[in-house]
Amino acid sequence: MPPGPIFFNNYAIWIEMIYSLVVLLSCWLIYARTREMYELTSYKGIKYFRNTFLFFGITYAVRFFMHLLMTFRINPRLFEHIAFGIRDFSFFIMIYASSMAAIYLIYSIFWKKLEKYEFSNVYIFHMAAIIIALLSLLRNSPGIFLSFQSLLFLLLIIISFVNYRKTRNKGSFSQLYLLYLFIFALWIVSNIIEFITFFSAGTGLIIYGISVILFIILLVKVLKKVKNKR
Amino acid sequence: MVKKRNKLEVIYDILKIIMSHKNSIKTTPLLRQSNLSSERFLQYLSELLEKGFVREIRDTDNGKLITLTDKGFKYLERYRTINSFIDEFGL
Repeated sequence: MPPGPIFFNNYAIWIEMIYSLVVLLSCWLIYARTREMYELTSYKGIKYFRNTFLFFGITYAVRFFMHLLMTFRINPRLFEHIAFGIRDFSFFIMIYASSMAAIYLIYSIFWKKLEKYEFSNVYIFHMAAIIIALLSLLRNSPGIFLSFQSLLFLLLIIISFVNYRKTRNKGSFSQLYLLYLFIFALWIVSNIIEFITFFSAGTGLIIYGISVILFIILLVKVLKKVKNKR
Repeated sequence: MVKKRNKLEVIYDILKIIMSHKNSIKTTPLLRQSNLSSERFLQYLSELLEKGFVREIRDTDNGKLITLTDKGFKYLERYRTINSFIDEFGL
């Protein structure tokens, strides 16, 4: 029996694509549904929050596109010639956008403190993310951006812990910090799966499944909150 | 000690004062009721005009009246939702 088209045989890529697509849609919905609030208030916290999901959305769109490219490669030789440039460019955009998403997530909950010190120049963050993306690409080392994002994750843990200590007596600690931490941790793990080591398909599926559920929880929380209460 | 109002609260208060005066009020009573210094009040008023939350109209005795626009009403309507969103997400 002749082999079927390559994309029917490669379940792992299909799982990746579905995962990327669901997260992409969640991010797009969060970004779109918070637009009116930002337009009315120009509030910086909302802006940075939206930017988190804008950049996460870009990341997952590129990730989806990369897998699509891999899935539909009909002629491997042709693919090699055309797609190497696209792959490198996509890799660069993905690292840059995911680093920016992580930075904006942290900045959205920390911007008031930094603004006191008149430190509000987000261009520095863009520069840092571009440098990390370039270094990872030129040295062909995903470890560079994963280390950078792990440092950001550590920073988020510290901020969440400080916030927890400050607010635990008032009972107003936002459980969303935990959600952010899980999403961030799973993002790093999913990148380790993608770029560094090979997990079994079952482990990958569980991690992607949990990530999707967390993104959907976040999406539902946002949609509930932005719903017009009349 | 009275907590200092943030920018969103100040805007809400100003717009609410205008609405409570049947959507038209002169600048001087608005300044008085908004509990702001003249300088800060003028900054807020010019921002509200620029962003299209309020507009100035002339009344019969050629005085200036401030009224809400549709965007201003929308802000008042959505204020609590926006505030609760900011609190919930720690923004």
